[in-house]
Amino acid sequence: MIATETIKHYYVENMKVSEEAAKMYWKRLHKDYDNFYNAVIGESAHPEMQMFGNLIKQEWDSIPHLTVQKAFEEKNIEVRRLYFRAIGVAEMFQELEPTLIDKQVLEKEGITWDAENNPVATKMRDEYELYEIQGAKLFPEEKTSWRTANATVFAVRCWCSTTGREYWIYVPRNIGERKDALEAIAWTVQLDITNPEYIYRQGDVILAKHSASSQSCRPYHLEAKDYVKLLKAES
Amino acid sequence: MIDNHTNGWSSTTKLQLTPGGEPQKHIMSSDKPFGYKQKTDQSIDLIVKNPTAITHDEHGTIVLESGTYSKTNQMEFDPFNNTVSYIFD
Repeated sequence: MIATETIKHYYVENMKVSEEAAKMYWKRLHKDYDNFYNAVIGESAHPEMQMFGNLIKQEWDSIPHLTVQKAFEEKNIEVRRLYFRAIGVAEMFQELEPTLIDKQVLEKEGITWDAENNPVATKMRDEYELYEIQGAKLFPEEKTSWRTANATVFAVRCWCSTTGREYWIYVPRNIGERKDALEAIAWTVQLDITNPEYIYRQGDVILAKHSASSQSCRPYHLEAKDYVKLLKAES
Repeated sequence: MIDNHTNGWSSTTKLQLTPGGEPQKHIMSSDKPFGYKQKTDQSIDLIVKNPTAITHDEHGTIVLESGTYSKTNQMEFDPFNNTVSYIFD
């Protein structure tokens, strides 16, 4: 993933970046040094890489925190793209005043379970919001309208039904351009069986129950009508 | 825990449904064994004969009734390198 070329530059994601940029990217992308070490260095790495890891460990706490503001100060578009990636979807959409494209409420009958694990009928209610950040806002120096449009990003905002915690999930541009929040959340579910009977969701885990006619198939993303029909329980 | 390997299928009474690094785990457990087949890191097929609970530190319990299930994870897009990956919370 990385290789030192000179004293002051590193390769990150196949891109040559400054020492400062690399360190800010790594610190922001990885929640702590151990996470960075496991992802970038690894116990079986060459001794020189281990030395590099030790150097980063000593400096870790003093590496500047990468903010959205810092990302916009970066003139190189590709490095800024790296920074946006490391910052993550939630902070990007919380800070950059995204445009609300669509908001939908899904209400349907579902089930939960009591303390003895007996099913209890319940009414599910979920809100989904689809937002966009225009490419012109992220990369104003792009010279063609095609490149600017291509840089527009979309994310669906939803809330955990148990904890109430807010989640943001990026979706592809072709899905965002359908301007349908349910299509966006449906895209996040990919199955590899035909004709599922229903799906349960616990956090990010999806369980699809096979029907009598289910067969293995190439993975496919759900569409809104399937998501609405199949979702039976969530927590 | 019980593990009997047959044609890629195993049986157990307790199974972590997500890779080991995830701090809050989705744990599937039952008094009676259930079958599982790990297809990829995030993809597992399950055969349940008796009600089997899936618990998590933060999320409410899900209970699977008798049947066959495919477990996977939600997906997300990365617009800055045009890749799709699984979400692990």
